[in-house]
Amino acid sequence: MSHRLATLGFVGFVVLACSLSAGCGHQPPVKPWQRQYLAKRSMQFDGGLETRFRQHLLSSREGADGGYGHVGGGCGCN
Amino acid sequence: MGPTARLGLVLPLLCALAAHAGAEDRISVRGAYYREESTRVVQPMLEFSKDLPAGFDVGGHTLVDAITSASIGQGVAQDRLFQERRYEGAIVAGKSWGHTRLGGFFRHSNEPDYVSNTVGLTFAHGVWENSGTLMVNLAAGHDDIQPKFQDPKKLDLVFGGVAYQQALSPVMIAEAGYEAFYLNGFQGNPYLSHPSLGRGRIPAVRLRHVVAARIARFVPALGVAAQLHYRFYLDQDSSLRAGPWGMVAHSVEGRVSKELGRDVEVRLSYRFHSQGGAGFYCKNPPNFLNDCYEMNALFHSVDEKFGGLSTHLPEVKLTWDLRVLRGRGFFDLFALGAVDISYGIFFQTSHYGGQWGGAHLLQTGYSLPF
Repeated sequence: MSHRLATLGFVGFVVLACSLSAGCGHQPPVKPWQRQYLAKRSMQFDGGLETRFRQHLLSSREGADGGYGHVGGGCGCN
Repeated sequence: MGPTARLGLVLPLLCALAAHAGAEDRISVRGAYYREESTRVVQPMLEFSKDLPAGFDVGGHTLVDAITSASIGQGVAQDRLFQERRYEGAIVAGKSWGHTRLGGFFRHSNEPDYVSNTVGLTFAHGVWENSGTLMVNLAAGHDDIQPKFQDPKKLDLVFGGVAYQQALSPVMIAEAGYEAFYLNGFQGNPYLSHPSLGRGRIPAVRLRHVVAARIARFVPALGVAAQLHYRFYLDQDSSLRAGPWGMVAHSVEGRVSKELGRDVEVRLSYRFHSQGGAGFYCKNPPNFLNDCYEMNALFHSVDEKFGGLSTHLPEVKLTWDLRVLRGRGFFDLFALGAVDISYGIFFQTSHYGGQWGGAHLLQTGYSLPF
């Protein structure tokens, strides 16, 4: 059941990504001069090394890590 | 060459780069402290990024994990403060053409009993007048594990990820992605043993799938930003069935940031993680009476991270833009940067962060565009 849900989610994501990236015939929802709020620090998803430290900690305490583009690192066996 | 000498070579390189600065260049120094009942970690970090002529860019980071209370299995007779160290360094380089960037990275992590090397490629392409970005990441890694008084072990990793980020409106942005990891080799903790079965035996081959989605919304009238993250995790064996693995996990995180005046921002966040245990894992009572593993068990482990558990991580973060230092002599050099400090408590329904009151996570940093 979970496998089927994950597959459906992935297919949905690919369809959404293709639809959005192929939508050149429409006006984009945001023009370059309208991005002042999107550029704010509080709107960023990833925090560089701050996020990486937290992910390393979580990977050593949870057996189900990944999902934020970070890969590699040490054991975290303590 | 020792790790300290290597760090000594990196610092002059950073200074030389800083002397030829561009528009998007940034240098950050950070420190992190983690404390739980059995382990303490202090981690100083240094990160930089620099644009070069002709669309090239470089970046990298270096850090040290100084760890207290390492496992007795590593030959540590008694606790000595931060006596075990892990060194990590990474270099990133890329080239941009219009809305497209192709990059590569190499990361090396070295601790006395564990050496990890990872190499990867990143591709990003802006679409729809650059209001959306398609990202593809590929990586491969090899780890050498050499626990004291044990045979050497290896772990190979292949990673692929695709994600799409789209600005939905001038105040809303969303991202969704999928990642797959193929791991083959030793994935356990070499220092944990079952009292009668010995060191853990973990299935060697594991295929991990992660689907993640994130959305952020800014409310200009309130100076408030809100984010919601969701992550679904599933792992399988080489036959694409749950096999001895079959872990399923859900993680949800919410963040609310509020601007307090011109220069200060406070962020409150809460992350909840819930996972089901791996098929091969069973949780024994602390005294191992009525052992749930049979004597001829093919796989076994006492590492609780392979079991069903849930985690709570509330955190508060304060960021201060240092504009107040402008025009104050020497301190004017730092006026473009920002300092931040965050504190979180890690609760888990395992011995790592539950019955002893949780673990503490403190981070602080300074970031300067130059």
